[in-house]
Amino acid sequence: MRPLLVLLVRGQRIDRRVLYLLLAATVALPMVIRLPVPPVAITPQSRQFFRTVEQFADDPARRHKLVILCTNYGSGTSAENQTQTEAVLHHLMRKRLKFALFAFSTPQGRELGKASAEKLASRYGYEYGRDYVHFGFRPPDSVEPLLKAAVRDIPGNFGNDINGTPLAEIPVMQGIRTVNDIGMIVEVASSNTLQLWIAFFQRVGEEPIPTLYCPTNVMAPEAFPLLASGQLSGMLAGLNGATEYEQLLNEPGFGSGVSAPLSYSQLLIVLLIALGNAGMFAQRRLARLREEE
Amino acid sequence: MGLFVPQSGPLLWLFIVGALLFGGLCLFLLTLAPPRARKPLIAAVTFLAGLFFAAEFFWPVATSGDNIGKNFLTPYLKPVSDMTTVLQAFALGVGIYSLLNVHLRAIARRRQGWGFSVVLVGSILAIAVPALWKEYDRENTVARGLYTLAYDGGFNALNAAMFSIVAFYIVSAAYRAFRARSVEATILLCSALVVILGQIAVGQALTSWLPAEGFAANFRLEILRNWILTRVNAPAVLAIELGIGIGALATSLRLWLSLEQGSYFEEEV
Repeated sequence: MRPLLVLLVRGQRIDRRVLYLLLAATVALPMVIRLPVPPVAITPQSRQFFRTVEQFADDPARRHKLVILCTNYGSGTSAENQTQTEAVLHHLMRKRLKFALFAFSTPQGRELGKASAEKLASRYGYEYGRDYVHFGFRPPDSVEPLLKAAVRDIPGNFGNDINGTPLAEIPVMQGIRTVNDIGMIVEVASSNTLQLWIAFFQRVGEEPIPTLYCPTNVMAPEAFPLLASGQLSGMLAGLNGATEYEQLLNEPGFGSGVSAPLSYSQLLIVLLIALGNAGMFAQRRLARLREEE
Repeated sequence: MGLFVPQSGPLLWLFIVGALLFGGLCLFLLTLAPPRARKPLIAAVTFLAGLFFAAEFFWPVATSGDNIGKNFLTPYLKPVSDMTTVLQAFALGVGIYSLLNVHLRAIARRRQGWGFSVVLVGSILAIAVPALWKEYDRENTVARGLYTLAYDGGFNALNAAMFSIVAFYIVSAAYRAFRARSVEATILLCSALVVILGQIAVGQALTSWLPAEGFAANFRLEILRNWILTRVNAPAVLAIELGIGIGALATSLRLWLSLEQGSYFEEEV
């Protein structure tokens, strides 16, 4: 009994460099030796997200409306957000929906969103200007008045696209004038930018605009009240959400590729927490044994 | 409103010169203002700027006619948005000027750590020059290549690498700090373990033998995780956000009315 307790006590004093090495190996090995991992279960929020896009695409009265895809993230969270963006773009392009990219959190979002759309455009026969447009980047503090003004005149207030062409002259923007011509909002975010859409844009038209959210995994818990209230019509939570969406689309991408490293690295965290706690309890037991002696 | 419509040709230059003269005059008048009058002036401008948004939001709107849904301030939202963009661009410019001022001096005087200043200035130039070049000469392949090299090859990769390092600290911190020392900590620990295991494929496989339907399905990890997030976490988040909202409202009012006190607000202007 005592040697086991001593061993467990030592288990809570692993050097941090060993922990770093363990994590690096847990992330790298499944990618090299292709460790098997079962498919991830689809959460109700991801399923709801998928269903909302499907319903929008199948509705002849709405599918001609523009989808706004906001890429409010930088390369720091691109593993999560870029994967979400590409999964959503697959779905939009597969359903031949017209969309506008927009970024107002960081200028990086403008470039990352553009790169994702360009990457997938040729596969689906999408052409810039004809099938999609990019509204460019706006500084965060200027977006509140911009959205409020755009409710009644989108091309007039957003002005020019990313290339400096007036939006009114771009074919995909023909017929897009007010908030009532927006069919869906998809917010891919690494910071709290969703509130602007909800406060100033989502419910000011003739009918509420279905709003979909792709936050990083650490931000996801804050969005659950919005799902319960119906202000959000679906959510892809971090890389897990993106992986689930890839499964729903039957379109394996980066998320499915890193599902094994993600699973095993989080399992490592659970095991280490268990080891640390076992060590703490062993220490207490050992102290009691010494007192009894 | 004619003042805020985009101009072109000779009129554009007239507007630019006019804006410069007006801005210069305002700055000159500000320098003439006695120090005692500067703070009330800043407070007045802050109040007026805030008042615009509050008044536009709360003022009744037309319910019929051409201006349905608008009030007399609504047409000025776009110019205000543009002004905010310009102000932020100025703030960015001031920031870069200040940064370069400090670090170029450090380099010129060979202060301790001046090598880091060289790296900083070099990094700014390495990104700014190709980015500006590409923006103003879009067809130039050299500019685009340089930009791709600096931005995608350098900045994006470094940024992602910096963020990924957090994972190592999370592992170390979770191992050292996540201990069941009290009842509250034990509840937190158990719920965290269920949420972690319930969101990864390997964790979900632990309870995949349970039926997918019926009462027993409630004990599958992914179902438990969803229950924690939607039934326990969501009300707690709402309560926290209500508190944050009230606090933000109070802080906003204090800033708007220039009642805020502290190091930034009590310094001599």
